[in-house]
Amino acid sequence: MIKTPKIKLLALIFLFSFPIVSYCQSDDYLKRAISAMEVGLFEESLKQLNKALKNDYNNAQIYKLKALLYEALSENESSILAWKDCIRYAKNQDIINEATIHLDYLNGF
Amino acid sequence: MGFDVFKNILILFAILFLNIGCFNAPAINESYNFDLVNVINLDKIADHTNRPGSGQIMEDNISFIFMKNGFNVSQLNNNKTVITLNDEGEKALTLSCTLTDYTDRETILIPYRLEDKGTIETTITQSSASSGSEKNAIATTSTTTTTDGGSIQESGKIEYTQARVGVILKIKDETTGLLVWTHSYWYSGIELSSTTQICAKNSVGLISKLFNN
Repeated sequence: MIKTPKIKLLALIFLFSFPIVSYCQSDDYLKRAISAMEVGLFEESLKQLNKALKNDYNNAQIYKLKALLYEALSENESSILAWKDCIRYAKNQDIINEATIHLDYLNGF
Repeated sequence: MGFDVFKNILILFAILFLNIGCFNAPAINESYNFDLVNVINLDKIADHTNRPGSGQIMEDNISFIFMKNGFNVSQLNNNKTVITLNDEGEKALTLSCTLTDYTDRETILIPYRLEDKGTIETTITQSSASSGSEKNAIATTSTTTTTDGGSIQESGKIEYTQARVGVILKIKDETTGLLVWTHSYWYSGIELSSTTQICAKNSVGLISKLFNN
């Protein structure tokens, strides 16, 4: 079916790369997200956080970081949604207080 | 009897709810007439111990936000900042601000879960036993499959740093020394400069409400 060696090579790369990509864990995505954030690539950081959330959807701290990044990008509506998710999955009062302070500000007091 | 207990619980919850709702509200002297205030003198803000220059940054942010809110702001020769509210007023207030937090190095830990996807191990064992003649040899094959389903567990933490700016604000009457308004506030963010600005904006927003009636 696959006739040319070039296509064969590409197919092989695809097949071998797929298990590597699918095996990436939350911590890999989080490390990439934080590295991207530290150099100011906030949008890339958000992409990595969304990938991390697929494996760890109820992690309040990831939603908090997402919310802070959206705030830094002045995307207030998305930030509000992320803070609400943060409150939904929060397990301690400190993070709930922080989310409430941010929501008060974002909702215009 | 049952209704009374239910009523008492309901009242208790209502009181608790109201207290939580007002937990972060400023403290205000309700009897003070803010309509008679002429000026607010902004005291020099001392630097936070961790960050030289932080007091001046906060002072400039507060002046900037007061101007954005439509107040007249003057910077006198002795470096004093004066906010003029009402030319017909006669009272002078002093606003002092203490920086309780001023850092871009607050460590936050994100716990993460590592998913162990498990393993499947298959062992095939084959043996043969002859019973007298080679033609009637019996071959036995057995297969053992061990499946480890893996586990999901919290296995580590990754850290990052965020900015945090906190203030305690006090407003007192210059003549009598009466404390008329106090508030503590903090804000967090990724960048220190924008976090400082939001902290100042929210603080000034609350002060402005005193003079908008």
